[in-house]
Amino acid sequence: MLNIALPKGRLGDQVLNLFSSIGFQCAEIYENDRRLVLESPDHQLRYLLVKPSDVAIYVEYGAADVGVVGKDILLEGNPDVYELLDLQIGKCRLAVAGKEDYTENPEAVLRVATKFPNVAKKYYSSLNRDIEIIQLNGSIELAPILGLSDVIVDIVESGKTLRENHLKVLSEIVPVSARLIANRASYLFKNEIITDMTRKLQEAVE
Amino acid sequence: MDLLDMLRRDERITLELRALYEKYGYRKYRMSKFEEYGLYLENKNFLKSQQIITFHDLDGRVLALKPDVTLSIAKNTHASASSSEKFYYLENVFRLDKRAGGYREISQLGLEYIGKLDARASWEVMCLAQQTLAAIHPRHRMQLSHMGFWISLLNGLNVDALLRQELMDLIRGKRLHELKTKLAGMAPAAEKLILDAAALSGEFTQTLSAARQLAIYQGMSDALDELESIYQLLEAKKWQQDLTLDFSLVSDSEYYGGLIFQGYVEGVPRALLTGGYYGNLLKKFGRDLDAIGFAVDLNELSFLFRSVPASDVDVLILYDQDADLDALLTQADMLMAEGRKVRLEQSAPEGVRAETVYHFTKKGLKEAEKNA
Repeated sequence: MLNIALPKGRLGDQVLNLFSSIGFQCAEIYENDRRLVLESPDHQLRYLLVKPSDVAIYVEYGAADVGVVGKDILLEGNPDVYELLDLQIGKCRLAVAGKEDYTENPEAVLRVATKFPNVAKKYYSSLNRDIEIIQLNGSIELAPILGLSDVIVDIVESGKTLRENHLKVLSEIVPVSARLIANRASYLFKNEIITDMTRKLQEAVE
Repeated sequence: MDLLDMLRRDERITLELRALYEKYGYRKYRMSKFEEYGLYLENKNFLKSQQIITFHDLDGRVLALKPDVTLSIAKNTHASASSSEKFYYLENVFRLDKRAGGYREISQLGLEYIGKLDARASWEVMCLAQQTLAAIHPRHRMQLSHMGFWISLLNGLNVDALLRQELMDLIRGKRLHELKTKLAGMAPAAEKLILDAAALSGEFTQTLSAARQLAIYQGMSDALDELESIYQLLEAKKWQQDLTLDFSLVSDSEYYGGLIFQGYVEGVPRALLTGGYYGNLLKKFGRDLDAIGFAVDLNELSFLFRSVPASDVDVLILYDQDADLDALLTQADMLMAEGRKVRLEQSAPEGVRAETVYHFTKKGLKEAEKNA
């Protein structure tokens, strides 16, 4: 039995379709059902649908053997797992954004609101820039509007949310996409199925 | 009651392993919990984390709570070219642990072989590492690699230290898609060589012959020769089936320059045993010697042995205030002589689970009603 942790939501749906297209089925059950644990008809696979930011934790601790998770989560949490493949879906980017009329004051400590404190710290330390992190858990876009922060570091997909809030991308930090990750011990003990899955997924995304 | 039966599984395994190491002629090394902080300052590249608990001794010296045992053994060894030393240790070390959110005391069982060592010595340590895993869990696997292979390859391609660090991080995480991006700009042949080497993983003999195809430098071939000779000895003892050769296993530490390995058992999500060849560390201490060893993080055994005993004591005797104490003690002695764990109390202590509860009154011992 292989346990596969997937992020709940739109990305999870996409991934389930991708997995079933290469013979790791479960999609039919998924459409009729909203359970958190789904098994394949032959009981060889078990899909766990978890909060996207928890996927890497499930895999790191071996509760799931493999998982699919956004690169943003991996950069932030830096879990000790194998990252086997870039699945080329769920594409977006981590970026710095601010108000449309924002100009930076280089003499002041920059206040950065974000859900990704580690990514923000690392990015600004590479620029030698002193910052103060304001960690938020949602509605990051509000922070510069209310003057809570100068800028935000956040995921940007189409940029629509930013435009609606009169914000713009100031600089891009790193492109993000969904990655296939594996637990280190599982990679040894369930090597055959994991390498087979990786190879098939690679062929499917190329 | 058999004394061994009293031990927890992990305590029992520790004792079995100590007996195993003693059988192979390893002596127990006992050391102080403290070490001069300077030792770690001078050898910080050997340690995984630079964070160390330090304090001032009465004479003003800065001491540290040991984050590592191998460094102390390497510093103090009396081994020479003609006289090797074999130690094992069971010590607690103090390290910063991201998962614990602070410092953690880690119980380590380890083994070191120092001197002029041949393939047989490496094989012996590998064999003991395998037997260590087998004692912990019947389903176990050992991952093997050789830093000499990578060092020779990256030196040959003139990869600078900064890029080398970045490449090692990508290789360790099997992030081949990112490694490819990082190598863009390098000569296509060099890029392909590094990518192919990073992907080397699997059954030992197949992976070794695939690695042979890539060995364009002498140091790479030497590393593979060494792996092969150890493998042949392991094969003779039928230890080879649990081996995986995986060149994504790389070490951060510049002191690991040769064979490295990691052991896994089913049920523990990360490596339980780590080890390798660290002759470079001995050379740094001015001794031209070889050294190889490994350590097991005993804290990780808690992933395997979580079961709580069904009861805390076999018999709980609740006695009245005016009970005949002589008769009570005689009763208790009789039960203990039968090998049972007995606890005497006037009222049942909270949270203590007993297999049988007795009431001791003037009339003698009477079993309490279940679910009372």
